[in-house]
Amino acid sequence: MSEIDVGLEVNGEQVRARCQPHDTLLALLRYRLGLTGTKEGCGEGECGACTVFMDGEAVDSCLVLAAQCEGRQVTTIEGLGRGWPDGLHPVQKAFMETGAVQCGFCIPGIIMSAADAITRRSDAAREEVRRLVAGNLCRCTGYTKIFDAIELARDRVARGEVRPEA
Amino acid sequence: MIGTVQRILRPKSVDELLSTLAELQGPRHLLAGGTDILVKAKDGKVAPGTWIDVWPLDELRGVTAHDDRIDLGANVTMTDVERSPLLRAEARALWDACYEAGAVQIRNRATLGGNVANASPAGDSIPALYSLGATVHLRSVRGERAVPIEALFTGPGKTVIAPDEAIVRLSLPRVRGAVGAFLRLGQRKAQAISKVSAAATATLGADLTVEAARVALGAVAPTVVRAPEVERLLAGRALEPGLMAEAGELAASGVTPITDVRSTKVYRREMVAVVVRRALASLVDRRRG
Ligand SMILES: Cc1cc2nc3c(=O)[nH]c(=O)nc-3n(C[C@H](O)[C@H](O)[C@H](O)COP(=O)(O)OP(=O)(O)OC[C@H]3O[C@@H](n4cnc5c(N)ncnc54)[C@H](O)[C@@H]3O)c2cc1C
Ligand code: FES
Ligand code: FES
Repeated sequence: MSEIDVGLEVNGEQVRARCQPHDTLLALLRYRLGLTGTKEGCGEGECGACTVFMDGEAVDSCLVLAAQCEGRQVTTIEGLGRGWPDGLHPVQKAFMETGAVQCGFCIPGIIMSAADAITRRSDAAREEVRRLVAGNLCRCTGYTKIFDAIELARDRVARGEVRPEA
Repeated sequence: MIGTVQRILRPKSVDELLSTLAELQGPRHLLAGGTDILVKAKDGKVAPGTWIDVWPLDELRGVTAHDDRIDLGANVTMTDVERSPLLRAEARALWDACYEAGAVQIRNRATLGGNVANASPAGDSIPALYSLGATVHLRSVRGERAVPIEALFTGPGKTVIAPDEAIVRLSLPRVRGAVGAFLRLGQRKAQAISKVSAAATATLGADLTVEAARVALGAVAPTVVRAPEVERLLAGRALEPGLMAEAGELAASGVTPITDVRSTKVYRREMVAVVVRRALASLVDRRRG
């Protein structure tokens, strides 16, 4: 089993890393690149704590091999706010303001899914918001504040109150 | 997981994939979205060997409409299906199955080729593909062959796909005016493997007379199965509530499900009646528009 060399773009920067053939994207991010915002919960696609964007689509990074990321663009929670005022995505801001966080372990993944959901479906009502973040589990909050925060961010973006910086 | 991926190959074309498969010795595993095989590998259920990444092969992507059929590349994802107005209009059972499956992160990676090759009796696209009369196209350096989806599976996780073959595409016959539906029951709405599922695709006359119907059931036998006795019952009759209930009961009496980690045989049999009845009711709603 020989190491492999993977080159990809992470949060706008080109990076290269040595990996094992069985390493996941999650392991690459956390242990080779030190980006520990992305969490490992189940390691099996159930909990969404490891959610990142790969070529613009939300994926569970625990179910992608690092070797599959050659030449791909990955965005993690550390890079989500790039281009937004104060470097915070509207969903991040809304979570901070509403205190929609308890232990916080699930939150990076939930924010990634929520950001994806409101970007694609700025008209999503609560039922649809729930469907779009159904791949993320939270063991603490009971979700009410999480959905309130997501809807706050959705409405602010829809009303044009917050825009990406030019 | 460590040791399972002895090396990983990334062919640049389908031809290169096929010649690689032809020359390789020993265990080999195609890797598409990875949402089944990586979970299995982490559970120690994948033999150590060579992994071959097919995800980047754009030749295997794409939904193409022809006069008589719709072709779906093996790498078409559940999200691709969900975003296709053509498939929502003409292959509604498949669209429903992909809309209901997993969650966003899973659907973004879950390919139809992977769902079919994984050969789970609970794989959600499979009953839908049965109901649509899908054909699976397998290719190797020896050539291409077309296998009706119902002839592909020999048991749970087992198919007639040879070690040097790959699924390249699925094709669905285009049937003017057909309506379809897929329904499933699981532990919860998202992320749950189906305890029982049903798909139906039919052409209905103006008075709701069943001109032709295919009904398939998931998670109640070692493979997905058709329900031919139900199809015979429905043929030529108007789909009204009494007939739908009768069809459900007949479907339930025709299956011998098992008890496993996800459900019991009693629950499964009872619920077959429910999902079949509801799927047929959806056909009527959709026919009426
Ligand atoms: C949390 C979670 C939820 C899920 N929910 C559902 C659900 O609701 N419904 C459902 O049906 N499934 C579900 N699944 C299972 C899985 O996502 C699907 O079966 C998916 O379609 C598999 O596709 P893939 O591309 O990820 O396959 P992979 O894991 O890449 O491959 C699966 C198998 O297919 C083989 N294969 C892949 N491509 C080809 C090809 N072109 N030719 C021949 N063989 C090939 C592989 O070698 C492997 O044996 C879920 C999985 C997870 C982890
Ligand atoms: S750690 Fe990836 S989904 Fe749970
Ligand atoms: S805040 Fe603790 S898991 Fe969600």
